[in-house]
Amino acid sequence: MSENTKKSDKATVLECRQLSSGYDDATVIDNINIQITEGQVFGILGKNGMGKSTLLKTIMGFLKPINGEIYYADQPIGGLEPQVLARRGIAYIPQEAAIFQDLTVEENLRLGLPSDRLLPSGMEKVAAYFPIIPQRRKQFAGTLSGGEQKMLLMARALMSDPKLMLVDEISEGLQPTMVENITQVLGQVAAKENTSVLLVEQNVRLVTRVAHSVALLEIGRIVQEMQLDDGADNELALTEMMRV
Amino acid sequence: MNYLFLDIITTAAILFIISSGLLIIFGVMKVINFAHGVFLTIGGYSSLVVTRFDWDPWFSMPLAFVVGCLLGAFIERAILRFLYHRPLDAILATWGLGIVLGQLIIIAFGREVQFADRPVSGAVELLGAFYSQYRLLLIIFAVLVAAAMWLLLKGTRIGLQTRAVIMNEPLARGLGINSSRVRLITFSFGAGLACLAGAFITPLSSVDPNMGLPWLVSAFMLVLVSGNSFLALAIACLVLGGAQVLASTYINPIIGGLTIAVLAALLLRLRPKGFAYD
Amino acid sequence: MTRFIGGVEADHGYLVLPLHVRFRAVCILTALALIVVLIGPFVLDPYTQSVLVRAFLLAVTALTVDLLWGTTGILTFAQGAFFGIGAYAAGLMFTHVGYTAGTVLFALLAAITVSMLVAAFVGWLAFWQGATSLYVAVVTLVLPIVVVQLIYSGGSFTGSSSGLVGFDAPSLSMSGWFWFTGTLMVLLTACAWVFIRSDYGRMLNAIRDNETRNRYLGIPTSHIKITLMMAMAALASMAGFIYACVGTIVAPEHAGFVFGTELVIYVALGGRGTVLGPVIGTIGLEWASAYISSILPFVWTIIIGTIFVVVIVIMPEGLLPPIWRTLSKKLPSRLAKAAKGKGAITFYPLAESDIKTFPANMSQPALDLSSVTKRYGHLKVLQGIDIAVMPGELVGIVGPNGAGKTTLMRCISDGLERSSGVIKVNGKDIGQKSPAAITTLGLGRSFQNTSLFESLSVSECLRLARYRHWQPSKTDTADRIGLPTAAMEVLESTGLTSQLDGKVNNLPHGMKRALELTMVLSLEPNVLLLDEPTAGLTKADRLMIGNILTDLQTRLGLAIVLIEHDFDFVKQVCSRLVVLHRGELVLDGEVQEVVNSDLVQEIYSGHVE
Repeated sequence: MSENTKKSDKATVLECRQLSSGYDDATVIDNINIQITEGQVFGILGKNGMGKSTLLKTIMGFLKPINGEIYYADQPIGGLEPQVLARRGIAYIPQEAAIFQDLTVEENLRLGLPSDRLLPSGMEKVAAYFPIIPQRRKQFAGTLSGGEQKMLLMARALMSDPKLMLVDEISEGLQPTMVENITQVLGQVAAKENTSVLLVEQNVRLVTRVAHSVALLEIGRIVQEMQLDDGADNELALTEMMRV
Repeated sequence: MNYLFLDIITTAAILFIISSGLLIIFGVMKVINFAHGVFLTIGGYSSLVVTRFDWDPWFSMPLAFVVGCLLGAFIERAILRFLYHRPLDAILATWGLGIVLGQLIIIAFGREVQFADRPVSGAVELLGAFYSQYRLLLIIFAVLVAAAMWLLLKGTRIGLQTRAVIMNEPLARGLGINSSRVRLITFSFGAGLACLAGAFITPLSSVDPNMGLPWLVSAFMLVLVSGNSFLALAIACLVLGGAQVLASTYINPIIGGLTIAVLAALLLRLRPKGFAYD
Repeated sequence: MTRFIGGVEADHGYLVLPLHVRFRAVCILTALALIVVLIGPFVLDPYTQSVLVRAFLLAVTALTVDLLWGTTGILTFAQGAFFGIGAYAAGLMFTHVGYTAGTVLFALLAAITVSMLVAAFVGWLAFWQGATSLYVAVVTLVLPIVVVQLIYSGGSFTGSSSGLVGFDAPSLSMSGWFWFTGTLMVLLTACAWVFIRSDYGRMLNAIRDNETRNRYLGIPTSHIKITLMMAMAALASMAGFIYACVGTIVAPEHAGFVFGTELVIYVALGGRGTVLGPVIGTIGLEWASAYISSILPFVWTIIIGTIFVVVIVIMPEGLLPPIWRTLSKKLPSRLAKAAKGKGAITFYPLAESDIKTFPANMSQPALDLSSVTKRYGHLKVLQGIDIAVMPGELVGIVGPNGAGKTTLMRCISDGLERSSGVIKVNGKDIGQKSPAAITTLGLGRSFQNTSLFESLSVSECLRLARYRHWQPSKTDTADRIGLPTAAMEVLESTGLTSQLDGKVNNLPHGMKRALELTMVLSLEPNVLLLDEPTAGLTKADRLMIGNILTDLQTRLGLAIVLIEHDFDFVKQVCSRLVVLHRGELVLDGEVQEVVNSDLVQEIYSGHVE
């Protein structure tokens, strides 16, 4: 991160250094440098096709970096398989096809855990954030409403006690009240559980509410970064930033 | 009439046993295993080995299953895992493998038709008809296979993980499921099931190096019309197997032998989902 | 003003030469091969000759497998069955009717007719839209099984499992057969070699690589595949026919599934898609197995099987291409350079009179949707969508992800997609038409994920896009291609002209989008469907695409529908906006009116509008 970042004594959870990635030979993201510390919510704003999802897929190991390095908990993780990273505490919430529609809510949740023995304690944790999820445990996930499906996604990620959550446009197509709910949960998770969150969004309001730092992604490059200070009208500033 | 009914049910049972190993492999790996025929043959020769050593004929079944699992695990690690992105090449590679294994069998056991001891023989009276006891037993085996599959898939964690990989593999990997391990276990299990099926059908006829081949195409077609569903497979076995019995009885056995392949191809043309619902 | 844009075709690992050079090369090689065939009987013993006669006929059959599988991507096990049909036509005719010049001709005609009809039926079964390549392979697997079972059930008429032996047939000395089959094989190989390098052959390659995209370029892929399958069936059955005449024996094995797979093995080992590889491979393996299999009967099969598996896993391109690459490095540099050649290609703007764009009928909508609905099971993705777009209108469709925008595009461009409702393009109902047929109604669709032919060069992509209007040659590669003015303009203004030789894969994202647009415009559509044409583009590129679109709309009167997320862009170019939300059309009106509506404000709350 750039020099104007406030030095903090918190441990770095994720760091990308000069990261480039894409599909086959086509570079989609280029020279990305970000650093996320414990309990930090880092927002990445950008319009469609700017490489937001590609960045998350690369960190999660679905795409191999073309260049640069990714460090997670001070270990290089570039080139590791997604299942390995998931086991090491990275929870990935993809934008599309993110739940198993034909499995029950409970089965979806079990799949997020390394062992079924953790299910009861995980359920308790989930109930605290989303009381509706345990009530629907026997229901097929495909029968949930759009908002409930997003809650299930969050719940599944939270159950595994992740150190880092990668969240891809979770607010897309949701009612404002639901966006509000999810915003609050994200904030609490970062504050209470010390989980770091890398949040990729088009929704400026959501990012303003929860993120500590924001980067703007344009055509695969980070063109601007800023710290969100309390009190300032961050939403307006960010909206202006995105317009440019 | 009663014979006909029993023939249909037992034929469906045999087809189900034969195809289930292929179905589980196809479901998880999206790969049609052309070595399936040879796996059936290996099951037959497991029975023969048991006969040669004068062991109890029932022992041929666990033996076939274990041999199949080991062989399947080896093939998956040595060959198939390189071919997941090339499903058509996987067909060819498994077929080539089938040729090699078939020749090895010929070298080891010779070309001639041989007979293995049967665990059960004779006929029983059922519904006013005398019927082969072993064929009736196959119905129970089919039910056992189906029940075992159901328990494994629905009742165990690895079963849940397998279903997740079938439905959406990238998502499953993102949740920490080792899909490579799931594939290994699935292929190994499917191969074991195929060899077991070979041991099951051996008492119906004889053992020879090509005994698996005639079953191969029927099994493919049944799997293709069933999608990923064991229930659809059961229905397909009943309907198409029934058609086969009827055609063999009322037209001639050769037409009967073609029924499954032709009907399934036409069915897929008209209804690409086949017997799969949803 | 006439502008020409030139470039050199990308090298695809095989020779890309101008026709006259290529023609001369083929002639020289063919003549050499023919001389070898001519000398053969003088130096080879009769047994070797008979082995090679069989090998030549199998090589012809393997060639048909290569054109279907290697070139077009249809994995087929059925060519053995067509070979068998030809063989049995000869065997049955000569056994039951007798051998005269008349029966020879009649049997040959019957063999070819029957196998073409069977191929047409198999093609109908196999090549419906959406059939997976796996399904196609399995259908071709069923055919030999059916044919063999029919032979078995024919009793003494077909000779059942022992086949037919000892009938009178056209007889030649072994040397005579050697010359006849050898010449036939060499000539057919030469034809195939020229064919797969022609524009038509490139089109078949493109179908292999991305069939769906071809459909949207107006290329009737199913039809082409069926035709190719029929032609290849005719060739294979001819080979079978000659085979029966040479040996005066036919047996069910000659039609069987195992024989069909053997052919595929030969092609895979030789090098799929190379023509020469499969031919050389077949002859070499047949010759080797004739000698070795008698010494080491079981081990030989194991060796072949093992090599086959290893080749498939480790070097799927087969044995010839790596050998060729090694050899070509050792060629004198002058020859190697000649082999690289200059396949220069020029693009020029078409005269107005050559452009076949549908005459815009200003009084009727160019695109008319009424109550279009799409369901997946119980889930309604689109509900009763009504939109009419007049010529010269530029309509933007907006809405959050999952609102059904792309589904709507799919419903318009593919007649099988929607669950109910009527869609008319230029006044014509699209019914259940395929994407290729809808393209001929005047519709052009671009894709959200640039689904281009990644392995092709830019100029090759443009060639493909022109095949709808311009029949690709089966022998030649065109060096001048006309493009509609609109496409030429995009090509020039985006700087794609300097990238014509580059692989699409290596293009920057903005260039890919521009190429996508150029390809769609090359179809000469008057209704354009564009799915997020500006996603991932810089502001400057967006501006440029916007200008091109407004120009197409105002000057050429195209009806344009575009899906967009970028409201700034939409405001800049669109004349009308449609809002989709949860599969329903919730707003349809003037741009400002829609943008300022409460509903849009709510849907997009928090987003940069």
